[in-house]
Amino acid sequence: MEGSVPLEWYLILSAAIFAIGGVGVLLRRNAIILFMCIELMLNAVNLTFLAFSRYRTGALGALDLDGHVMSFFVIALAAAEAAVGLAIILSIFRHRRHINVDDGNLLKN
Amino acid sequence: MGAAVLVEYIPLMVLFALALAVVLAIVFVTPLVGPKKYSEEKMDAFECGSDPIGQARSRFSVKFYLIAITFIVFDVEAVFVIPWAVIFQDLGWYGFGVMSFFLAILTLGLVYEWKSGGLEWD
Amino acid sequence: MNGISQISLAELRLLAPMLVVTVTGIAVLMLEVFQRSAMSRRYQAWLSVIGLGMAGLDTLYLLARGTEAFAMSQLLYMDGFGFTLDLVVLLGGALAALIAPAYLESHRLERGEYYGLVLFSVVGMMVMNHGADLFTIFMGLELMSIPIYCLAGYFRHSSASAESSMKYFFLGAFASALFLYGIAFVYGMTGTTSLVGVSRVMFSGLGSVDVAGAEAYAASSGFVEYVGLGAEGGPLFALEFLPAMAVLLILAAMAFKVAVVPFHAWTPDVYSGAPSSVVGFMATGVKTAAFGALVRVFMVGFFDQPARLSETGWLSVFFWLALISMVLGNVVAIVQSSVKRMLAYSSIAHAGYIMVGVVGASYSPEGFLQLESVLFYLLTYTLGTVGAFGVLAWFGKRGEEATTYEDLAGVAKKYPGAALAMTIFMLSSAGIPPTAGFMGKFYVFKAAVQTGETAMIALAVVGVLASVSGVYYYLKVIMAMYMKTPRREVHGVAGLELKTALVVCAMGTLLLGILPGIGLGISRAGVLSFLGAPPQVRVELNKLRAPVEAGRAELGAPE
Repeated sequence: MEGSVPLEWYLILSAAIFAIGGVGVLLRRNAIILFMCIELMLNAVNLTFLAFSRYRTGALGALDLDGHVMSFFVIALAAAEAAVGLAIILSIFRHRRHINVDDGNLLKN
Repeated sequence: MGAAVLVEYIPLMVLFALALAVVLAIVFVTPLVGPKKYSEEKMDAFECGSDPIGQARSRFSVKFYLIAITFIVFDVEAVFVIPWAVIFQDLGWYGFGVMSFFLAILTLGLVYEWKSGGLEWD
Repeated sequence: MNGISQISLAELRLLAPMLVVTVTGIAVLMLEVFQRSAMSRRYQAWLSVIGLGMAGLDTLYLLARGTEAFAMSQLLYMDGFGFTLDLVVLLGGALAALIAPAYLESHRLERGEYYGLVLFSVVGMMVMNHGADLFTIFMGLELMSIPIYCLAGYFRHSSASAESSMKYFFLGAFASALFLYGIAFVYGMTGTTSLVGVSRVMFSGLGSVDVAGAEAYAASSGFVEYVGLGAEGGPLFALEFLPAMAVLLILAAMAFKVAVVPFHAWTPDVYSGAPSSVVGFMATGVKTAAFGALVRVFMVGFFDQPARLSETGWLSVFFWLALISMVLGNVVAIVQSSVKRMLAYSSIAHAGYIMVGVVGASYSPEGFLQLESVLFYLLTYTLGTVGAFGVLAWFGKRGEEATTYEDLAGVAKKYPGAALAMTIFMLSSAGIPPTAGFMGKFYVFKAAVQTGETAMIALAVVGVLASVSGVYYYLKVIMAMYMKTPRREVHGVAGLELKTALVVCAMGTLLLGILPGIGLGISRAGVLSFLGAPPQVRVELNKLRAPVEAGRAELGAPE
């Protein structure tokens, strides 16, 4: 595979995106941003799947499309999570008029 | 493999560098060289030339969110339908049957949404 | 038709229980939108129970026949282990449906979506129970979780319910992302996500019995070049830490779902905000399916020596998770003033006890049969916990729920039946004979002791001590019900359905406590037909299976 971007680069990129998403989930308070961070993590995983799939197909010469199929499923799943997540955020907003995650804390003793 | 074979990406890097330079120039050089004449008209919010009405940050109706949520769910079915459509002749009647089954379930979802009033605007 | 594997009717037959539950779920949703809104929804609860019951009967039939097969292009193991877990999950789902009608009516939220979501979630759990592929397990996990996120926020008028739903959603989605990232690494390293394939490739030549097969597989999948033994693409950087990281990511996600310390922080918040009937289902069903998937992933995929038994192997991680969960769960539960939060911490402790069983069973191939204790414990836990939350749902009123010990004060005078049932559930959770909980704990700790290893015995001892200290807060509930005088009028709403569910739970708890053989027999049948077991375990299981199969042949039962 002359002239192609090596696998490691994809992996580093996706690890960076995943880490940004993960740190965002742990540190941010706005629910929508949290939600975008989750999407970021899922898309980083997609990138990993595709990079591996392409590497195995190209460099190893084994026609391996499993990674592509899995990323399809991840996309569908992300959509399902998005629908439910947005609905949950809406219902929180109805009660509190804002969507910060750690405010209110009705559930803490 | 390695950095040596990535020569063909150099034009792309040049393009990136040029774009960055132009953007930086517009953002930072213009205020330094350009004339500054303030007037009330100029500092006003721009709304197609007419006088601005209401707040710039108004809230959207919740109904838009409902439509968006619905859209996401029914939008992604394309991820599964398109690969099937590309090779549907190879898959034959079996593939057609499976895809019909999949779409039938989706249709039931649509029926549920319709009947429970998710598509009503008012 | 080149190379498309079609689904055969024989496969669909094995999937019948899942299909029945799915169809029931869709039917309930359709009935909900086509019926008049003023009409009662009580029949939907019974419809759900009938669907789950039919699925349960069919599962029992498949289990009794000793079914062992792959389904859906080897993505599902249709084996006894999965069927046994299915039974527990179906029971949990049916009880959750029965508890609901009066409870939802008293909160004016009687809508059929509740039953639909429970049923879909049950399907997801069943998929997890049978998963033969990391990705199938993941899809099952999501199918299970997404309806539960909705159920947790089912009380639309309650801010606490919405908040609990949001917390569960964000942490759940975070855990899913970790799980997926782990799967991605496993796929990258091995080129497969099938559990058997993973174990063959990942640990080829590292203690695997089937070395020749593993090498052939590795050669055909290009793994040998892949790790850098003359790779054209160069070695993957820092490959040594990748398998460990993949295992760790998957473990973290699983630990989150079963709620063991230190992945437990969401549990008390989510349990105390969500509707009681949902919490009962969430605590038991999710735990059952997640433990099933955890056992399957680690026993099939990562069983080989270095991954399991080395200093940093998963067995020692499990060991510590079990230890801190038992201790912390029990200690923190003592200081809770809310019964729901107390039950949440106690569920963390229960996850620790179950983990003890998993640790004991995975220590050596000979001890594998001890996995029966895990299945048995999950059954007893389901009966006791759904029952306890059912009693809480009984005394839930619109706007406010029975959550504190004071809310339960004086219940025994006005509702002796409810108090008696709650007493049985509390005694069972505390592990006092003659209830099922005692037998469950007995077998789980026995699984740890039979290894003969000092550390394992110490773990069991800590477990016993922790559960003894747990008796205190369970007795506090009983004391409140019988001894205290209520500050205000005790008020409860219960229908025939809720009472039926509580009677089933209480009778089941006592029955399994006095005659544990029934539950244990089913659990053993489940473990004996564990598909995908590593070769060294298979040898042990075959030794134990021989008499069973001879007996079956003698009786002339169908194969």
